[in-house]
Amino acid sequence: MKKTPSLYKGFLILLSSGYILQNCSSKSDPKRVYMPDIYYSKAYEPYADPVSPYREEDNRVLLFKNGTTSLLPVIGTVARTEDDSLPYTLPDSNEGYEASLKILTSPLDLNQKTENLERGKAIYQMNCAICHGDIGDGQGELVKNEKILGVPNYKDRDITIGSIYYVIMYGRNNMGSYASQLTPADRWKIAEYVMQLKKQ
Amino acid sequence: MKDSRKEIHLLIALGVFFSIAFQTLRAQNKIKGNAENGASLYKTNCTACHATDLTKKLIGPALSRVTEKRSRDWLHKWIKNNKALRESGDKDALAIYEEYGKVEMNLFPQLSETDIDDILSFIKNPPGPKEEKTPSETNGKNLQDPSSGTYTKLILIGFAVLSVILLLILIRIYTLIRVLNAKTFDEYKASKKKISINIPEILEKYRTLGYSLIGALFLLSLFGLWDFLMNIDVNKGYQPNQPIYFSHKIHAGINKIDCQYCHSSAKYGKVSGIPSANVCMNCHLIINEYKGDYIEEGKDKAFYTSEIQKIYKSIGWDPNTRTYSGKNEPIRWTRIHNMPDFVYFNHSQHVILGEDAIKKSKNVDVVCKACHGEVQEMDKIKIANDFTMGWCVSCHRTIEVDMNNKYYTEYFNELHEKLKKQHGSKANPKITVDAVGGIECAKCHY
Repeated sequence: MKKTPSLYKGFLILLSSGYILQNCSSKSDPKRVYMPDIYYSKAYEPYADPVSPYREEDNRVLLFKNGTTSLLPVIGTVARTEDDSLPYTLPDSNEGYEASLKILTSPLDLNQKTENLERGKAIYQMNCAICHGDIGDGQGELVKNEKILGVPNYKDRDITIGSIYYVIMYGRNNMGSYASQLTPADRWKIAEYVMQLKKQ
Repeated sequence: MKDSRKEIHLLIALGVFFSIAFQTLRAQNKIKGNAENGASLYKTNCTACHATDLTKKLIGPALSRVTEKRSRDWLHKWIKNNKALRESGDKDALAIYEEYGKVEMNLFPQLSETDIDDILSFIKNPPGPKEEKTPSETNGKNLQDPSSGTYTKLILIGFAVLSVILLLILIRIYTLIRVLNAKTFDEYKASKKKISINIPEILEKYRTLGYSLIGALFLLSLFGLWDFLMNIDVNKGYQPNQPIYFSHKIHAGINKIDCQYCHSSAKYGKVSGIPSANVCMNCHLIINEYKGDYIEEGKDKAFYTSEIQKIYKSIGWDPNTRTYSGKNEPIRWTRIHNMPDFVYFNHSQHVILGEDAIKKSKNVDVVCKACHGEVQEMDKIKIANDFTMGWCVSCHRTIEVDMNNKYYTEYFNELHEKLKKQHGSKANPKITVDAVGGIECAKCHY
């Protein structure tokens, strides 16, 4: 009879530790880390509030107005672009569109035409083909599934390389702007590729 | 008699006159065309700006009663070349242009007279609303599952309650029987004592069994501890709830949207990026309710539609007036992959430069799947791999470098030849990532 209390204790300790360990592996919580102060960044992380999940109260930096690190560049910032092109100056208006129709050449290097078209094709298939179709006939996957309708065939529309760039930049009608997803050089490459599709 | 005859003649004459006049008037405005052909033309040409069901206002007006409001002639002119009509000073045309914020309608010179008539006849007599397929036809399985699931749950709960009640009754009966059998209270007390379980006694009795059981449990808990320590910060399977129930299965799987459509910065830099709400709006400007056939168990279409409304709320879009309010609040997604500060990882390096090599060695059709798994099958996103250093290095040791890469041939030709001699057999040089520094500490930790 002397041994029984320790036996009881042993059982209890094992069961409770098992229970705790079991609870630590919940799918909706991240696992523990060894040194949270270096696993969770103290520096600003992209797309994140300036807080660390490790110790929220002592590292909230109220440096920015809305407390977020996702900020737009300062107004007037000129990005250093791949193709060394200057900032796009046409305004987002009917006049801007009319003016863009008169642009008939892209500022990209003509000697790089094949590489540009190749890259243009790859990015076209990532971003545009879902609606405009692989060959630009307006029969993309979303159109076939009747999620989005009324996507025109490039051949039916009077478009120029400049207006294609304009529409990628600002969007038009139901098409949104792709400026946040694509760099200026890639937009021109897509425009070149679309002109090639139109000619085919 | 004579008078009445005269009257009748007059009436007939008048009738004939009016009917002829009316006929000519009608002929002028008569829209005759093939509504079916019109429907398909409408779909391809007009639905970019006009609502498919003709009753909603989108970029352009709702067209359902336009054939009564305007004459056929006017409509023809407007559709063919609305700009010319406006410039000719047509008041109606100018009024519409002003009303819709001076957004120009596209010109349609490619449409013939009959094409336009077809479209107009479609607008005039649109076919009845598409018959909704009954749920049992389209996805009976998907739709029935949730209800049957709740039924089984209810039945199970019922059984549990019943069994508890039965158990209580049995205990009661047992006590009653004991009370009945006992002649005196003391005897009853004694009988109660007899059946009571004395755990210490039992443990004493089966000591060896008890100790071996404890030994096994101890070993098991040691394994548990070891497993716990080995899994610190290994979040494979981590699947938190997100603020919007975004289903990768619907977007990437069923609708085949490219990963890098939304995660666009993967090809440009270090971070793959969470798409901002304007990227959602590229499609959800038009798609404001869920109409797909796929429905996850336990969910319904209204649920998915309400999740779409959350985007609108976040970005401040009013789908009825089709305007942005300018008030927006960020969607606070829960980060699932956390790259500590002491590691450098670059998405573009793997997605652009390593694309072919990774695809080949991991045997995947999309480069992202090599690390992130079958995302197109996930309703709720989760971490598919360990994402530990050992896991990184295991690939770097086996994946062959694509030596035909232009960058390499241009700059490192000599080095190339040297590497080829050093690694693998002469005839079949095998240059893996570790041969070009893929497991050097300072490549990722600096």
